[in-house]
Amino acid sequence: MSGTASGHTNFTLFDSLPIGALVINKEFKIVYWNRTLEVWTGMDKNRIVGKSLLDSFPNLNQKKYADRIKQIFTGAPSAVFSSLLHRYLIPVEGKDGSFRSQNSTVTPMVSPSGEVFAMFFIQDVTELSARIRDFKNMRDKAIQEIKERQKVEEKLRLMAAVIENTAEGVIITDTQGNIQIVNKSFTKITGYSEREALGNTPRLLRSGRHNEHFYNNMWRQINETGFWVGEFWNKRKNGSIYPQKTSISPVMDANGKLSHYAGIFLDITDRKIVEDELRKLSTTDGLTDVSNRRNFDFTLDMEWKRTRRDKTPLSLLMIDIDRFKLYNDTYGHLAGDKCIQSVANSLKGFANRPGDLVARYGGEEFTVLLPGVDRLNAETIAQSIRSHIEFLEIPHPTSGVSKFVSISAGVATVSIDHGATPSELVELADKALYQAKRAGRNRIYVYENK
Amino acid sequence: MQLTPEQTDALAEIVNIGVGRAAGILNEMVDGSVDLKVPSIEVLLSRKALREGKLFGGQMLSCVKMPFNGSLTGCAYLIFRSDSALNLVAALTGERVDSPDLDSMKVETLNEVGNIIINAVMGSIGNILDKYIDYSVPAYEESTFSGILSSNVDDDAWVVLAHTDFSIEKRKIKGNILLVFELASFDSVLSAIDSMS
Repeated sequence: MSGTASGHTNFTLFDSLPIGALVINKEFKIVYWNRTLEVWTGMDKNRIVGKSLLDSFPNLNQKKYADRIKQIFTGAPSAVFSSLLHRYLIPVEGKDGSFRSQNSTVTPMVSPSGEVFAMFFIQDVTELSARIRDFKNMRDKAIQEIKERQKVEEKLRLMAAVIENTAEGVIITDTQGNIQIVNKSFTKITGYSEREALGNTPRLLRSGRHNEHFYNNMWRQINETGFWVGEFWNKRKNGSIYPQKTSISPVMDANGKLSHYAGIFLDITDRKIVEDELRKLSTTDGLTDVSNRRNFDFTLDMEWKRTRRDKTPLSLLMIDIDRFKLYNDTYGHLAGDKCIQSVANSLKGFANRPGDLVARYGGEEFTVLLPGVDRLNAETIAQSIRSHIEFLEIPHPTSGVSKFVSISAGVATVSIDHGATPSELVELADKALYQAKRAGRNRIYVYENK
Repeated sequence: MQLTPEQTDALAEIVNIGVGRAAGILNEMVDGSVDLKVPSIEVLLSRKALREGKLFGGQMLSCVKMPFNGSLTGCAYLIFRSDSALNLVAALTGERVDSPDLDSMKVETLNEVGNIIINAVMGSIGNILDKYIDYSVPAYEESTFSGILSSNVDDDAWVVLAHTDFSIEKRKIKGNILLVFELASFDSVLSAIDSMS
């Protein structure tokens, strides 16, 4: 065929191109097959030229290829085949066994003799596609990472906002105890600004009320159990001392290595005041401000045990205002209350060592607990009380004992070798009081051990 | 010059034959049901009138255009609104409509779709009217309608506008085939049509 011959002479130009090039005639017979295609397909041009393109590559029989190529011979413009929609026209196996991607153009060409040919130009875009795909993957990964980082940052921001605005004071230190982070409440409670706190250690806040032993214990527990909760006294910038409830925990980094300590604390001054108030209310007699019966019982138990442990004596005075009923009848209950208050105040003056306790035991009955005081000294104290009350010269004309208010007292003392119980001590003091009254009142009676 | 109803019908028939062939090809490519219809065809006075009209408002359009000359001179266009274009690319490539890759696939894919449709329609015109047409290289363009039309075709050229409805799977996509013929070329088209009947 003339077309084939002229094709050969004209098309050899395409041998040196790095793209696949082939030419077919109207009957789909291959008239030219370039060197690149020989390399790609392993098909020698001498064997394929003259054969039908559709026989050699049956995939091109599909309408989407054959119809568009046929149009070329009836005057239609070039047809383009994108790798996005077709992958390839001429199957070329890559090293990994998959077919390589091709962008192809099929163009009409009219020979001088008027014969129409279709020229195929096939570009291998596998590497390009792979690079684009890699780029897309990289971009997708980057976008994913950015999204995740944004999520983490959002969470951190939220947590930071919570920490910054919580009512609890927060201190975060490094492993050496250097303060790294404090929040607004820290400043509000301690008076130290963030700038003053940073770089310092929490020792800045020590009140001096706790010894090293206390802090050592605390740190040992933090490092052994991973947590410490308790109350201690700290000092504000202005020097005032306040109680705080604190929890401290170590913070580990991603590798489980200690990186920080975090302390969260609450100023519990207000709570302490309320607690103290409640404790006082529950242990004190409302009228006289000395201990109530309940606190006396509790303290007696404690002192009893200590007495046994320390092998020291323990004395108890049981005191009763003489003829108090008659005093009330004469002057009324209000004056009676005042009389009781005066006696209580006097008693306080005689029981002022640490551990001494004055309690209102009943209506006009008082007890004075004297730890470490032996019988002889207890007797002396009791005598002093008795004469002191008389010298107050609170008028009591109907007493019949004295012109003034007077008391009777029973004294009982226990020592270590005496195997008694606390209630027996009260009983003995009560018996002694009874003896003092029987003997005429305004006097004391000392219970003698047998 | 006013077209007779017979002339308009014949022109519509020729365009439809080409579109039908294109549909067959597209159908095979997407491995599903592609329905391509030209419900109406309009022949408008001049390119100038069309450019100044409000056919697409000021919207951004995606366009594949292919100038031609020979025994007929003019330019063929396949035009989509930008959202329709992305929809079509998604349908043809199987990508999701919200895929960030769609934009980069748009040019190559629309180029080929334009190639298929314009080739089929122009092939049909050349074949049926027995005209030899020489084609330039197809080009992809994104612009407003007036921007797209400012190619070097005379302002008194005739414009054949074929509204084209794509229906791919469940997507409905509207496009437009625009054939612009120089005055003398359009005369020659009409007389070829007249001589057929």
